[in-house]
Formats: sequence, structure tokens, C-alpha cells
Amino acid sequence: MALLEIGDLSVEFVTRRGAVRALDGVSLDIEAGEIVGMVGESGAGKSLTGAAVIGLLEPPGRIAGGRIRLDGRDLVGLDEAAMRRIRGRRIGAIFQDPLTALNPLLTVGDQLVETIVTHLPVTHDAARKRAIALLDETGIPSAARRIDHYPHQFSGGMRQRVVIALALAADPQVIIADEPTTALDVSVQAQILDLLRRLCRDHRAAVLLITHDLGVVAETADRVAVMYAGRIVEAGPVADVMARPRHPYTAGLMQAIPTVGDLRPRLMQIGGAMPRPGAHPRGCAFGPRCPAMRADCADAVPPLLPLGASHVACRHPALPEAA
Amino acid sequence: MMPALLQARDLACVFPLPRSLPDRLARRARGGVAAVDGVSLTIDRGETLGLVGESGCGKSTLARLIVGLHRPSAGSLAFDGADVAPSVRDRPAALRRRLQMIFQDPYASLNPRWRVGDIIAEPLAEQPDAPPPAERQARAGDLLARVGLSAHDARRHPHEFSGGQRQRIAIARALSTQPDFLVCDEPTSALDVSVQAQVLNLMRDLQEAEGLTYLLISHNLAVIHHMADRVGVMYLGRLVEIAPKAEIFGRPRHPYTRALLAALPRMDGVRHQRQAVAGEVPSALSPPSGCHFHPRCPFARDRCRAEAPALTGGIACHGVAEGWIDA
Repeated sequence: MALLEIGDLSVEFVTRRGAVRALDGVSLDIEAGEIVGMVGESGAGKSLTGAAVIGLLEPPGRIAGGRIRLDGRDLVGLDEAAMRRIRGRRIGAIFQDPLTALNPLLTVGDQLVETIVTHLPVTHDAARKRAIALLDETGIPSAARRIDHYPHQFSGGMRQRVVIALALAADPQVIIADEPTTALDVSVQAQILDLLRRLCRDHRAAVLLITHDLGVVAETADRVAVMYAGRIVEAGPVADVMARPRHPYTAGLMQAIPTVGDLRPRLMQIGGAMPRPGAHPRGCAFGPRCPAMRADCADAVPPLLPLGASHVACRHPALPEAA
Repeated sequence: MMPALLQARDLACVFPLPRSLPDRLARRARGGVAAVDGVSLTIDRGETLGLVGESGCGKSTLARLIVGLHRPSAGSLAFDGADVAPSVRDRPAALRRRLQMIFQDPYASLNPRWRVGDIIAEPLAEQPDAPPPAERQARAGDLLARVGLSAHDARRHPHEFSGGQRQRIAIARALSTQPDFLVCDEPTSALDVSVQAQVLNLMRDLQEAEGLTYLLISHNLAVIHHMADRVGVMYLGRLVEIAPKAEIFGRPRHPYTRALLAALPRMDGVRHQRQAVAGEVPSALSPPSGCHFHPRCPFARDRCRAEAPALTGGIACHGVAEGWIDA
């Protein structure tokens, strides 16, 4: 049994014109000590999946069905008080913008200590010691002095380290990292991803790494799930999915990204744009943009089926090379 | 030899800092942030110069100096062999026509109350020989078709379009006066990768069709690699290296350029340990002495801490100039 099991999870938004399904039957397992990357374009449902797991779906969004099992216990349907005991304690979160994730009026030490004493049965002094140890572990130099500084006294990369220390405050089993390096420069991005990988290994945490950047997934994650229009369209070990994408959308994404050393004069482009929730075409949502679309693609939404080491939701996937 | 289309000489831009009351009473001099600190470069007709650097390195300020949205505190600009006024307000319409800009955020750069056709036709209306309104609207329709939208879209408003389509509208607006030089400041940073590919391909097609010259600013090295002929690397307001693309990516000389390239994520599906540059970009409020990169540079010596290196032969580095860094 995996540490975190997301099963057939659906999220919908209730609007005046009825419920709009934004996440449709998402299933994903993450083991302890494993980083699973979730990629996709804006609006694909990546952040929504993360928000559902930490129980921070904003109304009118709501879970319409499915399971989120942490260590065997279903989190769907827990009341807010029960969820609050899990959030921070069992599931930590790292968000994109380290400036808005921190309270500018409190020192980072105050914020860390508050989080620690909320979740762990320790004294204030012990919590402060733990806070210093956490800052030290996340690579903040002279942590014992820096703990009394305010967020604005830290640079962007250092601030993100503080946010990571906060997420680790109660030693959670699961970490949801939503675009943790998007606001950072490339040189700092590499440092933060290194840190995330090391922490995942040392703490045996299950990490869901949400990002739009396939490069970040390629070098950080063990497995990857590619999302499109609220569904997972391809999932599998990073090396397999990146080297031999089976779903035309994954293949298109890989081809659309310029890389250093690639001398093609033109990038392959996927025409059009992702449909909005509630305005999906019949059958496969990627159909109208798909270069390999066939008549039967519009018949039904293709289920996510095993193919080689991966899972693919496509009626006509690229097949493994005949061996 | 034909002169370069654009030449910047020692361009600098210092933003004044607010002074505290005691400082004002004591009449102490006003401090400032040197966002751009003595940048000289040329851009040839028909080429794409890519400008990379991390946030706060001054690349966007440099772009705005070139189109005249900021006033330089020192230095000068020449366009097509003739000196140009620093502020866009003082530039003649004939010059403004030739120099246009595409901004990063297509949600902020288009007026939400205007119809798309009016947005695209507006730069034309500013010209002294402006064609009559009906012809301007027809031209807007043609431009929409050229950037892959439809002439019917002219009647719609920006909110009816996706991010990628809005960026196409911004490109159509920039092209409306038939410019020869386009400054593109992070034109695809706000877009998803599949849409980024559409916009980059469009920019390349337009360059071939119209003989456009681009100054392309991006923090994304892969985008620069894909689009640029030559590449300039900026660090804390200064140009530290500038060279043809193949040299920057094949044989980078400046330690900062090397560090940037080593920090690139790789996509071949094999996990690589990226070589992280130590530390972060220091605050521009109090840049390090001498060579701004010295606190992060593995090769730094005393001279680097004392004296800022000048850009000679496309590189500003004491170590490379004196031969104690292999390059």
C-alpha cells in the first residue's frame, strides 16, 4: 500500500449554470521517499489536485468523488477540525511565492515556533531549538542568528528555504510542493531542487512536485504524471515518459520545448489551446489538437491503461518499438 | 560597411532612492540604484540579439532605455547611424514608427476596454501621415491574419482571447507601423510551453518575411538559444559577456556564463546532478566592489575585488584577460 493514494478523485465547481468538473477521475499513488512530478499547462488541474490533498479547495470548489488515503485513512469527508490536525502535521505544503507564504510581520522564528508547538507536544524552548535545526538543515547560514530576522531580510532563495523549513516543521509524511522554484532564478532553482531531493530521501517523505516545467521534473522526480484538461493522460517512470512519450500530448510538449543544443529552426507546435472545464469536446479532450486524431477518438473518454512501464490514456498511443 | 542598426554607448540608468527625513535635513546626497551600469553594444540589421540574466540584472531596464521609456542617466544611443533622443516623447514620429516593443504580460499590455482592432490601429493613428480610419481598420484586419488570428477578431475585446492569442495581438500592434526593430521583453514567459512554441515560431516567420531585427530578452537560456544569433549576458547592471550564440553555448568564457549554463536543467530523462552556482544574485542596492560577480566566483582574486573589469573583446573578466582562467 502506498503512503498516499489518490483514487478516482474528482473535483467540481458549482456555478449558476450547474456543476463544472475541473478534475475528473485522477488516480495516483506516492510511496514514502518518492518524488512524483505532476506536469501540465495552466488550468490542467495540477494545483487543484494539490489543494484537494491538503484540504484547501476554495469554495465553490468541492470534492465530487473519489478517495485520498493517507497511510490507509481516507481524508475525503473529514471535517475542518480533523483536517486541520492533518494539515501541517502529516501533510506539509510549499507554495510558489515565498513572499506571500510568509507573514511579513512575524520573524521567521516566530512562524516556525508557532507551527511546531501547534503540531508537536513540545515546549517553546524545544520548539525554538527545532526551528534553528530546521533552518540549518534547509541550508540557511548562521541559522541561530537568522531565526530572529523578518522575511523581508531574506533573499528569494533563502525565503523559499524558510518556507520549506516551515513545511517540514512537524516532520510530515507527505509534502505538496506547488511550483516551488517557479519564482526563482535558474541558479537558485538548482539549489532548491537539490534540497528538496535530499529532504525527501532523509525524511522518507512522499513528495508531490507540481510544476509546468518538464526540466524540473526530469531532474528531480522519480515518476511523472502528465495532466491535460483535468485528467492524467500519461504516468510512469520519468526516464520512460521523457524518453519515449506514448501520449501525443506528452510527445508534443517534449517537442515544443526549446532546449540548449537543439538546432531545429522551428519548434513543433501544438495548435490551439486547452479547453476550459465544462467546455470539453466529446471523447478525448486532446482530440481537436491531436496530430494523430482518428474518428473513434471522439467516441469516449479514453481510460488510463497500462502500456509498458507507464500508463496512458489514449486510444492510439505511440507503441513501444518492436523488439 | 553599413553601420549597426542600433548602437548603445555606455548606457546607464540610475534610479534614485527615497531619502529619509534626517538625510534630507542634512542635505546628504540622494542614493541610487544603478539598474544599468555602463552598457555598450551594437545590434546589426536583421539579427537577433538575445539578452540573458537573472532577475534584477537590468535587462528589462536596458530594453526600456532603448525604446525610450526610461531616460538614461548617462550614455547615448544611435539608431541607423544617427543619435536619437533619450525619451520617446522627444523622438520624431518617423523614428518611433521604426522602433517598437512587445511586453511580457499580454494581460497587462492590452487595454481591456478597447476593441482589438483599435488597439492594433492606434500606433498608425499616431503617425503624421496616418491613413484614414477605415484604412487603418483594414490594416488591423490584415495584421491579425498575419499573426494567425482572423480579421473578424478585430471587433472583439482582449478578454475574449487566451494568453497566447493576446501575445499575438501585441505582436500585431507592434508590427502595425512596419518597424524594423522590435524589442521583445520576455515575450513568452507568461505563456504555457505549447503556446510559447507557437509564438516563437511566429516571431521567427515574421523576422524572415519582414527582415526584422530583434532584441530578445529572456531569463530562459533555451529560448535564447533557439532564437538568437548573438547573446549578451548581464549581471547586476553590467554586460559581462557578448558573443555569437555558438560561442556562448559552446565555449562560454565568463565564469558567470559558465555557471548559468551548468545550472541548466537537462531533459534527456536521465537524472543529472545540476551544478548549482553558490549563493544568489546580491542586492543591487549594495553591489559588491570590483567585479560584481566576485563573491560567487570560484576563481576570484584580489584584483577582482578591487577593480571592475572592462568589456574588451566581448568579455569583462580579469581572469580571462590575464590568462589565469582558461578560456
